[in-house]
Amino acid sequence: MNFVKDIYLIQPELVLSIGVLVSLLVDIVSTKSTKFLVPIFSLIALSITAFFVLTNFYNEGEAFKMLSITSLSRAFDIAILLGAAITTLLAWDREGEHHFLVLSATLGAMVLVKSISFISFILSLELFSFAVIGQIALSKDLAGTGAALKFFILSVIASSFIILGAALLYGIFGTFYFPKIFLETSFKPIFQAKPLFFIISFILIFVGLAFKISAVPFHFWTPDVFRGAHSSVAGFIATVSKASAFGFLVNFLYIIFGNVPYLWGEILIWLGAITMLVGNLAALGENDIKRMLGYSTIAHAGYILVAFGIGTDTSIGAAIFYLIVYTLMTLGAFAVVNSIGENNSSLENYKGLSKNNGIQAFLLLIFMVSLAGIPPTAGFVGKFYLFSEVIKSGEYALAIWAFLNGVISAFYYIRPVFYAYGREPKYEVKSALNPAIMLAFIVGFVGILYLGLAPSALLDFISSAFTH
Amino acid sequence: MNLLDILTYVFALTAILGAFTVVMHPNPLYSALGLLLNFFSLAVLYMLLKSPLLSLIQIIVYSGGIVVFFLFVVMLLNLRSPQSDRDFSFKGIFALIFFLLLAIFSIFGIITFNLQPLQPAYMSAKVIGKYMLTDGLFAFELSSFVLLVAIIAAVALVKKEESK
Amino acid sequence: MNTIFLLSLSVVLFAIGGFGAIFRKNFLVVLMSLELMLNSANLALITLSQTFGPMGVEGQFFVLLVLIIAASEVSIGLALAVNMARLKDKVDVEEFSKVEE
Repeated sequence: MNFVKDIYLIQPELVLSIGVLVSLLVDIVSTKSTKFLVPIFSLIALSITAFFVLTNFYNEGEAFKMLSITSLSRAFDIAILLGAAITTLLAWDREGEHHFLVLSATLGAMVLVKSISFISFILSLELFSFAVIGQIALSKDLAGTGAALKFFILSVIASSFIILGAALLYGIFGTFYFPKIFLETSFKPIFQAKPLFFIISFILIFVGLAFKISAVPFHFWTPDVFRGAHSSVAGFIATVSKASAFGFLVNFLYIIFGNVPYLWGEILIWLGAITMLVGNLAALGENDIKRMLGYSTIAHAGYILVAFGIGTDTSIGAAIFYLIVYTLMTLGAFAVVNSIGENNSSLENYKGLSKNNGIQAFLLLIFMVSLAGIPPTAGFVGKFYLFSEVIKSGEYALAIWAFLNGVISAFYYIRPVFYAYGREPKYEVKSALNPAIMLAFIVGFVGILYLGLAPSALLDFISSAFTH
Repeated sequence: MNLLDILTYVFALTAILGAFTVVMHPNPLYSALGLLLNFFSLAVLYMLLKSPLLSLIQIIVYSGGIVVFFLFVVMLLNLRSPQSDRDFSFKGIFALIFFLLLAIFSIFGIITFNLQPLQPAYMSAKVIGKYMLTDGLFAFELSSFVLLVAIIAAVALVKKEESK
Repeated sequence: MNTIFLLSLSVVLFAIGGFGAIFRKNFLVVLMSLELMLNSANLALITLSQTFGPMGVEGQFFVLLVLIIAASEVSIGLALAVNMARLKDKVDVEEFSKVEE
């Protein structure tokens, strides 16, 4: 047994796991007056991890027969760490345990992205879900407990589906190791006939996965959980959870098949096309900004799924770029929600926002415009690259479909902005602006404008993951 | 039919009985006892499958730990059951149909698929422990994080605020 | 004592547990049903690992991990139940999902 090479490969994960443990110590040591030390430490841990991710960006290989580390998965790590850092800023005032749970969920997400064995896949998924459940339930009020309850029951049912499916697959192949499973499925004649047993075990796994990433038939829990959870946690589920699920999907498809084969592509494209329509239509009727953002994440997942379905290197690069942009703008929108107040998420409270809370109204404008994909923001650039990849692949109908969806989405994104600038204030909204929220605003604002005006640096970096 | 078969069928029956008690009994206290019956029957089945370590862990952790934990919380909270519990609902009908279909299709799939016959090998603690600390080392370490998160989350959730 | 019988048993237990988890409204019973589901997966794993003879250690190891997951799940779930009882003196799942609307 020689693990030296494997340990060398997983340096960033090791650094983060040390950070998780030390953050617990910092939480114990810090008193009431030094409570701010915990989020500061957790930001430091995340930045050191990001540093290690960047320095190890081109180290590829397989570790422990459970992880496959590629530059592609490291690109997803960057999106995950970015999301975790901004949510830490949003949750600045919360208990120290919250920051510990954010760090452990990030660790789970980073391992999940690289999993190529059911063992590490299920364990990291559970690590992630338990940490998120803890974060939601830490509010301890009715809304938080209700949301945590819903998320808890669904996520445990989903993981027992995945575990039973994995057990049945294990019965066929005698292993949990993905590459071996798929090698056998593609070459043994018995699986060309697609026996029922085999199909059932796959259906079990896919049902479980669909619950976890809130794909279309199983998306109904998302807005309810978003409504009840603290905005930082909702933002965390919207960005980090999505990034890790997509990272897993892509890493998995690339490792197992070398590329996204034709059949998978079809399924992903159909799923994405339906998902974006359902998310956009449901968001139209929402009067609560958190629920609306919940549906909006479903719609954005649809765009990203379509890009993965096309499956060329450049389209996956465009999808990762979009994922990073999406992380910035969604968390920016949640930062606005956070500063307006957790219990004021009804759109009524956003009427006449520009009168009393000029900064928030302006930032709401920027983030909503970016989410709707209007230039000169990064949202436009991301959508532009995504759609041009769709057109390049020759799927014109799909491009028109996606464009129409973008138009539909503009309606509900512009509504809060219209309320903020065009209506008289109905309620007195007291907003809170602490330095952490200000920092989150600045990161989101600068990031969106920078990527909107000069996207080439990040795009080149992402495409270097494919070509190095 | 030898003794092993008879034992298997008897304990399979009690396992299903226990599961039904959990799901259908109106009193959560009896549900917890049904759970105990189910766990114990499964432990016997594991023993018959020549997996003594897992069988003992099943009894110690599940029957000894988790069921007692459940009983403790049921007694501690001492709550009235929800009034509309076990009533007719569309959700319930949907769940019944879904899981019935799932079970029927799965059993059909299991029967039609040519699975290998049982060839139990004696799985001692030594064999599993050796695997755990060599090939499974990474998963073992990761599972410690899962437990840590669960502990901290549970403590943080039930902790009372020091001052409001 | 054969594979088909034991696997069918585990699927039946899984279905019973899943039905209970959605049908019942008492959160403690829902938690017990979720335990049933995870346990039935364990039975399937042990049965199938014993079809591979001495090669089946991986499956047995996975059972231990599922056990860890189940134990963590119970501890978080019961903490949630305690919080529910503090808030409303009830552990009714429906009651708590209504609040959000």
